[in-house]
Amino acid sequence: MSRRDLSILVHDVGKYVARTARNLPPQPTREMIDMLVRDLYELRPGQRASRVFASLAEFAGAPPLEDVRAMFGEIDGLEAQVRAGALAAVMRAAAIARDIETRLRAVAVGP
Amino acid sequence: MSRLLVIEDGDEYAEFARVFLTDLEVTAAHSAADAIEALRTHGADALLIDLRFDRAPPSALVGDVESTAARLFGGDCERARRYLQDEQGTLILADVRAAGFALPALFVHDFPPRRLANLRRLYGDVTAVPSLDAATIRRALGGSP
Amino acid sequence: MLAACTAGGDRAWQSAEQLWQRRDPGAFAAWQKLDPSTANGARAHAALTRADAEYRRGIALLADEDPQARQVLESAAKRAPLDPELYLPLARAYRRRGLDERAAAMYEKFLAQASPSPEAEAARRELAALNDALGMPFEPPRATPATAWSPLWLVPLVVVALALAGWMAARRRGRRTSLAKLSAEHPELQPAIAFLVGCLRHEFFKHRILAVGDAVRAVACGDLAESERRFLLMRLFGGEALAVAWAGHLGAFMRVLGPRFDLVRLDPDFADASRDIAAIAASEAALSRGDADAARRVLAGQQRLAAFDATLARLALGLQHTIVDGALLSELAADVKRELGTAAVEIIVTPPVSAIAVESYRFDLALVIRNVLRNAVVAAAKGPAPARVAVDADVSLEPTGDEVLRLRVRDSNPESVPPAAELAEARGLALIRAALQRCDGSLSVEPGADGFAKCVVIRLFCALHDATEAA
Repeated sequence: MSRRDLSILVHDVGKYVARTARNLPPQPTREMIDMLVRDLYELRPGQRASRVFASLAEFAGAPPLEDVRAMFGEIDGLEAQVRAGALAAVMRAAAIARDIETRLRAVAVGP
Repeated sequence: MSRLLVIEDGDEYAEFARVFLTDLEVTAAHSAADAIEALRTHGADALLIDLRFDRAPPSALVGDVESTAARLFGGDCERARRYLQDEQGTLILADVRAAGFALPALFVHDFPPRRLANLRRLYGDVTAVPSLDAATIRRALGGSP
Repeated sequence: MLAACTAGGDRAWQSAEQLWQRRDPGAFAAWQKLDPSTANGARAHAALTRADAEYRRGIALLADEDPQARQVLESAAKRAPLDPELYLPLARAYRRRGLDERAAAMYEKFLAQASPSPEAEAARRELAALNDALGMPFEPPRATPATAWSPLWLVPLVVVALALAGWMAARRRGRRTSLAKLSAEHPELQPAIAFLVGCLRHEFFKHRILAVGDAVRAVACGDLAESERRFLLMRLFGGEALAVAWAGHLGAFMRVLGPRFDLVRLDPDFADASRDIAAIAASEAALSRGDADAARRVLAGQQRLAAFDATLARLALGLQHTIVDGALLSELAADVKRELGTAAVEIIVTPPVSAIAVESYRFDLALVIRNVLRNAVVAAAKGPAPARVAVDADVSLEPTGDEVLRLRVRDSNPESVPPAAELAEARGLALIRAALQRCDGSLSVEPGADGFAKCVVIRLFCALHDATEAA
C-alpha cells in the first residue's frame, strides 16, 4: 500500500466518518444526529462506512487494521440506537468514529 | 471574515459548514468554473477546498489527462486521470488564483510540510488542517474558536 | 495425491470444528494448525483473525462495564475459538469489575495452558491475591520449600554465576548490532522491515503505551478523574497483555525475517525498551490504586519509549526514502560497467545540484536504474563510436505542490535494439515497471539530445516528508 493509497483511505473513510463526530455538542440536535447517521451508515450511496473501509483496505501490503475493523463492527452494532437518537449510543458511536479517524491518520502519515 | 466559499465535488463540507460554522455565510461550488463565477458574482472572504474530486465528471476536472499522462505517468492515462482527481483541489486553486482572486484558501488534509510550503510558494495564502473540526477551522480562518 | 491431500485437509477441518463445538481446550490450537492453503483452512484462519479482534474489543468493553461487551463477545464466540492467551486479560477484566469468582476461573484456565513466562508468574500472583481475598486456600504450583541455607554455601556459586554473567555479557556486546544496521545489510528486506516497524509503532506504542501519557501524568499529580482512570487501565492493561503483545511483535520480526532479527538479544535499544515495557506491565495494580510514585516511574519509562518510538519512525521513513545523488548514480554505473565489462562505453554521470529524496525503497530504485543503465550500455556498445551513456537528474515543481524527479539515461546508439534482445529487454522492462508501480513512478522513452539518440526517463515523486521529522 503506497502512501497515496493510505491517504485515500483516510480521506474517503476517516475524514468523513468523523465529520459530525468531531463536532457534536453534549446535546446534539436531530439534524446533527441525522448527519452522523449518514456519515456512519450511508457514507456512500447504499454503503455503510464499514463496508467502504473494508473494500479500500483489502489489498496487498495494507497494514493490519483489525482494530479499525473491530471498531467499525461496534459502530454497526449501535446502528439502531443511533438512528433512534439514543444519546449514549450516539456519543459512543461518535467517540469510536473519532478514534478511527485518528488511527487512520496516524497510519497514513508515517510508517 | 464572514463569507465562506466551499469547493467540493459532493456536499459534505458545505453541510458541515452550515451546521457547525453557523456564524459564517456559506456558499458552495463544485468546479473551478463554478467557483470563479461565484467569486465574481457574490465574492467571499475565504475558501474551504476539498482535495479529492473523485465524483466529478472528467469534463469538469482542471488539467489535461493526456498531457499529464505524458509528463508524469509514461503515457498511462488512467493513472493521470486518478492523479488529477486526487489532487484536483490544488488545481482548482491554481485556476482561482489565475483568475485574480487572492483570498485565503484552507484545505482539510495532512499535507507534508514541504508540500504545504510549495503550495504557499505557488498560491500565497494557503493553510491546511487535518480534520473537519469546527474550532480548528475557525481558528485557521482567523476567527475565535 | 491431491485428492489425498484434500481429503486430509477436510478431515483436519472436521476434527478442529468438532473440538470447537465441544468447547474443547484444544480447539484453538487445532484451528491454528489448519493448512491456510486449503479452502477450509483459509476460512478458519480468517475467522480466527476476525474473532481475535472482536474478543479483544469485547474484553476491553467488559473492563469498561460497557453493555455492548456481551454482544461483542458472543459475536466472537460464534466465529472462532478464543486464544487461551486471552484468558489472562479476561481474568483481569472480570477482576476490575469485581467479579472475583469469574476472574479466578479465568486465571486458572490461563495457567492451565501457559508456559513459564513473566506473564504466567504475574497471573499466579494475581490469582493468589484474589484467592486470599476470597478466603480460599491456594497451593501455588511451585511452592518454595522453607529450608534454612547457610550463606557460606552460596559464595562459590555467586562467584561462578557472576563470572559467567560477565563472560556472557562480553559475548553479547561482541554480537551487538542494531535494527538500523541489519536493515542496511539486507536492503532486500527493507520493505518488510518498514512494514513490521509500522505495525509495532501503530499497534503498540501509539495506540497503547504513548496514548495514556496525560492520564499517567494525572496519577502522578494525584488528579485523576474516574473516566481517565478507566481509559488508562483499559488502554494499557485491557486486551492483550503488554508483555505478550510486545513479544508477539518481536516474534514477527524473527518469523518473517529470520533468526538473525532476534532484536531483544542483539539490539541494545530493543533490550532497554523490553525492560521499560516489563516495568510498565508490572505497575497495573499501583496505577489502579493511584500510586503517584509508580506513575512517575511509568512516566519516565514512557518518555524513554517515546524517544525509542521516534528512532523507529526515523528508521522506517528513512527506509522508504532513497537519496538520489552523485554517489548513488556513480555506484550503480560502476556496478553495471563491472557486470558487463564494456570498457569501451563511457558512462558520464552528472550529479543533481543537490541530493534528492524520493519515496522509494533503495532496493527498488537500484533495480530500476541498473536495468535501464544496463540496456543503455548494451545499446551504446553495439552502436558507432564514441559509445557513450549519460545520466543526469533534475526536479520539477508541479501545480499540485508535488515535486517530481526526472532521471534521464541517454545512449548514443541511434538504432533500436535488435529483435533477439527484445524479449530479454521486455522482461527487464516488466520488472522495472513493477518496481516503479510500487513507488508510483513511471518510465518513458523520448528522443535524445546533445548527440544522444535516445533518452529513457524515470519519473518519481519526491519525498516531501523529512525523515528527521517523522515522529
